[in-house]
Amino acid sequence: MVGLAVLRSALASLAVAAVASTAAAQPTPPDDGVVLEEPIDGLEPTDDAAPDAPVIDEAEPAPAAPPPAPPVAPADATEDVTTEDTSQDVAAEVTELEAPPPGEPDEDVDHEAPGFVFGSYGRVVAASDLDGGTGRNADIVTWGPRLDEGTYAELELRRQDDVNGMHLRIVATLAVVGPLFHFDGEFEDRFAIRNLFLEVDDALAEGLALWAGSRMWRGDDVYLFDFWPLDNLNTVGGGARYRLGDAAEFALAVGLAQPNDPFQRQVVDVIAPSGFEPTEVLVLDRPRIVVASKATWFPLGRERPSGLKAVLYGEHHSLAAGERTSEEGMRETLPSDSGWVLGGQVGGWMIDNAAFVNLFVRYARGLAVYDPLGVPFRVGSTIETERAEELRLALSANFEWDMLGVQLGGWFRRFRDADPSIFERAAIAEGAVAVRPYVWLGEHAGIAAEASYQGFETTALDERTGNPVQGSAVKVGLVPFFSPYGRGIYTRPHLRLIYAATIRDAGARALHPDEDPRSREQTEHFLGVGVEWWFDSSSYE
Amino acid sequence: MVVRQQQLRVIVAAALFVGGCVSGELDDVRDVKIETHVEDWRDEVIYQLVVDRFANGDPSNDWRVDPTGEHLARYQGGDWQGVTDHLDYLEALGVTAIWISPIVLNVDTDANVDGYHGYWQIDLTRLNPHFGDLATLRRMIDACHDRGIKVILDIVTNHMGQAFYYDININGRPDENISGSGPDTIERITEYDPDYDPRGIQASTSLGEAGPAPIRFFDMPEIFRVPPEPPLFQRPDAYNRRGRVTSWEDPDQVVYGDFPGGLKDVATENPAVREELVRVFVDWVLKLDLDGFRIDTLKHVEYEFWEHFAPEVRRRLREAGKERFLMFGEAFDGNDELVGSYTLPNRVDSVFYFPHKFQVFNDVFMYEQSTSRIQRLFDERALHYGDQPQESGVGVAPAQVLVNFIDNHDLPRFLFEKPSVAALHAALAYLLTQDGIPCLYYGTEQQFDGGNDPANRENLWASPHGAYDTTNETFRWIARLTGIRRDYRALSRGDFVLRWTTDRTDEEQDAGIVAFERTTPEGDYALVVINSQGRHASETSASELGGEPMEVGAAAGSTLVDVLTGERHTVSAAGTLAVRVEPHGVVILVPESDFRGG
Repeated sequence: MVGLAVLRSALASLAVAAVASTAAAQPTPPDDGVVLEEPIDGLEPTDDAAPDAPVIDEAEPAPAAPPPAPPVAPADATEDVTTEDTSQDVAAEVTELEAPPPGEPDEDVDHEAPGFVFGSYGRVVAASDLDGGTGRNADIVTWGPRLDEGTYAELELRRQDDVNGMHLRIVATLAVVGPLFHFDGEFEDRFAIRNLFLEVDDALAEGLALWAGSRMWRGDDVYLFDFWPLDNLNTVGGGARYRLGDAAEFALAVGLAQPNDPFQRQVVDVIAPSGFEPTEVLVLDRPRIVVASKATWFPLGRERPSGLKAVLYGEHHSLAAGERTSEEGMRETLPSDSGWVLGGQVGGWMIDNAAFVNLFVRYARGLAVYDPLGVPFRVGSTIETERAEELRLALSANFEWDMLGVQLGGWFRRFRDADPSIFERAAIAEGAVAVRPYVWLGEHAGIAAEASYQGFETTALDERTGNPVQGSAVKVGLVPFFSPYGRGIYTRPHLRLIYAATIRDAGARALHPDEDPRSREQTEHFLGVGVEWWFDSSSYE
Repeated sequence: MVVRQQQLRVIVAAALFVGGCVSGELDDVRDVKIETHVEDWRDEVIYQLVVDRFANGDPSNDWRVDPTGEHLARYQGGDWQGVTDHLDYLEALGVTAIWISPIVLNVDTDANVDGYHGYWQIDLTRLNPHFGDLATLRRMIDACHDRGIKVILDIVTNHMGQAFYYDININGRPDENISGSGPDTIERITEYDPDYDPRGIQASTSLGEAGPAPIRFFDMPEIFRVPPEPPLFQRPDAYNRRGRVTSWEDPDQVVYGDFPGGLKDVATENPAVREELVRVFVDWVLKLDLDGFRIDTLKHVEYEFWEHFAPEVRRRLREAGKERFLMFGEAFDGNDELVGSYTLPNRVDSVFYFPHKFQVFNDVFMYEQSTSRIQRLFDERALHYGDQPQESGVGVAPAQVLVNFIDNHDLPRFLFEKPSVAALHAALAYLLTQDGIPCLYYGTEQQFDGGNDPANRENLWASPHGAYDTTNETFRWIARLTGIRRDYRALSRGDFVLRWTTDRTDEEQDAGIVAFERTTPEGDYALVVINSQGRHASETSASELGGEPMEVGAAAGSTLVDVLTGERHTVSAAGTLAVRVEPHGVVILVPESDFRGG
């Protein structure tokens, strides 16, 4: 029964989630939200042996961007993360590592009781590669199948009150990414404050919600890839949402983001007015301003056991002009920059059989191609993003029959970055498909199997072979699990045994430097034990 | 399972197609068709360009580039896309072949000097990312071929970049120090670049020598200073390990010593090394459809290597469908016999004609010494250079395809030594009407006047006439001369016969005159007369000195036309012709029947 309630809640949320894309509504746990479209290391010359070469380092939080740098996968729990991390790195990794929510609960409609609430989303994984090493994510695309994902958790504390006919919610979400102290012995785990906002429902008018603070904004995901295809922003700002009865919802939000990178922010030392020590001057200060809007229509109503929805979504990103100082001490002007996103989603759900399907399309241009916490460029003097573009297509679906269930996901992405090169490894077409059937063995246990395919192709030619840089991998896995709350693909927690085998072709292996054993191993194994939970979280029931 | 994988592949493939994927963008460069693009190398005009200095077409690869454009020992930003973008410029100049600086990965920087020139190779299988990637390079070469421009790649077989140090004191780190206590005992020892030792560099401890010093490769990936590739070059026996040349007069040092700057001498005597060098460089030809190699430091490699390398490259390329692949080398030496020795049977097709550079372009055109030295050098050519085409080579004897040049990246520019545009123009006229293959150094057409390296490696876009200017007098002069060479086959393929040179260099009637004929078996004829000095007009006659006018091969009574001015000259009944030429002037005569107009 509990499972059914959870399922019902999840399905209801599916309808609402997209709407509440100010997702605000659903402080869904972060995920690969922060996609750094270009490797950060490109801007850190001293750390980069080959500026144009993809960095393939599990420990390095990945530019989720384009392979050839295999999206550094969700570092699994057993992974040794020892490299120096910049704040951006951490941000990237955090957003890479989280799990997507199953659907999003309708916490806006069913206001919870006043008081303090503790909630959480999390997953912890320990795995072996069956060769004496740690199990590692073996994906080669930006959003790979998540069977071999790593550890990530959110701890959420919120205060809820009903005041003067309004419902108030202060949400604080602390996120941590593995490896954990009990694995690496390092007491300084990597934390981030993700959500930290106040939202007031029914403010000024019924159905109107206002919010401000730090917030993850997002809509529906493709669970099998930990991927939000349409809307997934992480900024500090504010917004409003208006629910028009049972048929529609409109959301608008404005946020700022400013990675500590000389593309947006630079502090330099200058001679102080007096004394000997130099003083610091902020010479470049241009946060990205993101305006996002979303309209969702429920032709059959949003509170129905079955329904349809259509989403129209847009973003506008802008940066002011600025000036910075190069390493050589030269002044360099950065022009103003902008970009936009236009996307849509259609979907439907049936509470019976826990069925839903969502289709997404999203096109981004210019600055908006790059995540607000990412940095657009590799190297060189390309300082504006006009040329950049990205197209995403995605599908997610779920269906359950009594003891059986199945999840399906797929996506395609075409990306071109801002620099004028036509032939390059960052100019990529990539995609993945995955199917995960479930069989329940009684009420509390089950087995899931997963098969997936992922592939990419770039406009670069491999210098050693002369062939196009492309690759693919097939991943198969088996996940026996125990579910204390009973059946339901989206019930949690799940205690799991996870086995995954990733079979990489020559192109996928070639993504790794010769020194990396993965450049020689066709098959990579991952055998682990893990748990995933969500409860009383703004994101998960 | 198999079926499922196939289905999944189909789904993704369909998605990639729908998305307007990448395949279309790679269409033109995905595959390489190996073809022979050259009919006769004597028809070609080579333009030597330093890629980093020619044009910057892709700022995204401007990694660690000197932002001022003033520090010419640092990377400046030029790349292969830049070459592609400026083929119109080259075509307007009349260039039919380009020699590009080395393409493979180099040690990026060392002692505040960058590897922009390409002679510090560290990975023979990878491209230097400063210049672009494989697809961009292929597209550049394809674009050249589409315009009839051939592409010659600069390669190095003699040495690698500074990939290792000699661990003389066996302490596992590179040391550089001075030891000793007095004027006679102070000795500078550097493990990066120790002085030549014929036994091989020896390890040394406080108790004395300790056998061959181990070599240790650097591991500095941030500047590409890593163990070399392919892996064979990570073996000690791939190097001679004798230290830096201290005497260029010692033939052993010349062949087995490290090149100054710590460039480690490759053991080209090692059969495995020879084979690997053949393999990697042939591989680049097959990946890129190149038309020739310019080979660096020819004289620092033993003859036996060339007798293996050159025939083996020709054989493999012929099997792949590539013929008349030109291999010419750099033997930086004024010794004509030595330079010529590399063109003897089974060696390279041609060499840079350094003796000609020194004795003709320097002595005659810069310093206005006697033109009779041209005659002397020419007389030695048949003795020193191969007179038969190399088997499966370019089809022309080396003596007829020597690569002539006025200056290059290792020499001060002509205008640095002789700041006279008129003198330069006279030299250019000689270069472009001579037999052999003329080779222009980039920037000559912009009147660059840089001195020694790196001052002679200016950024072409920083021309004082404006970037890629095609209107200055030197650009137009070269374009005119290349056009004439193209229009009159005698000037490219004709046999070369000197008709007038002189010992006189003062105020005499023929001082500074050099005249030569070019004739082909098909009957093409041209007579070129150049006044190499700039003080007074001279003529092809010694009548004032009790001599006769110049005898010519043209028929008595025939009329010859100067293709530069249209002026007519009639050969006397005695078969002689006195041609008056202004200071640093040139007259190019062809039979009236062949004259194509101004």
